[in-house]
Amino acid sequence: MNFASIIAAIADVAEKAAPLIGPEAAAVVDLAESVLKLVDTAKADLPTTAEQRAELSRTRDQLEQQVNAHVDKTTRALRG
Amino acid sequence: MRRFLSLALVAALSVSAAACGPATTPPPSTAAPPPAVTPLGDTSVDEQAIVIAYQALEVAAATADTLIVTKVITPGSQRAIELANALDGAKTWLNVASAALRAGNATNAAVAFMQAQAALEGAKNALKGAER
Repeated sequence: MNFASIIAAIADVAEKAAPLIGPEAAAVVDLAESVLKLVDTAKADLPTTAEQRAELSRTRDQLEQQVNAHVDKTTRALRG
Repeated sequence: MRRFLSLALVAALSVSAAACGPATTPPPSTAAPPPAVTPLGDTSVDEQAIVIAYQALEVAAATADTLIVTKVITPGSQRAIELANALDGAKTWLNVASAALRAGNATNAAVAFMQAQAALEGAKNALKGAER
């Protein structure tokens, strides 16, 4: 999956920045690793029951709001 | 993602079935090669793919935050603007893909998902450029 390579590359950038800032960059690396595990899990297990699919939909809805807010904050900071 | 592979296989088989049309189908021209299967034919999107993509975008945003705090990237610089545009683009296309999936429009979801992936690839490149 293409996303796995993108996440791995981003994690690599965060890892290089880690010595400069410590825990915050380390948290990013941990987050990237958890996403990579999620990719592996997704490859192995497809949601089969209606309950699992509903749970996935809820996760998607929550993530959508959370990530939109985070990206908006970050892009505002980047634009200065 | 076995479902991706299954759907890609179905798409490929559909193309193959179309190629095995009735005898009245005009023979393929020898002047030009048959059209290649578009990347879209191999792409499908499900909830898991969208969730993973949002997680990837979260990682990219968190990495950008880190690079700002460490002053590796300067707010307002060309690189920062490129990164902001890529993150915005990935967010927008993912939202479109998510909405299309929710509405049951698999084709639009697949197109938007591919755009989101391209935008996130751009963000990755901008992040990698920023660390230099």
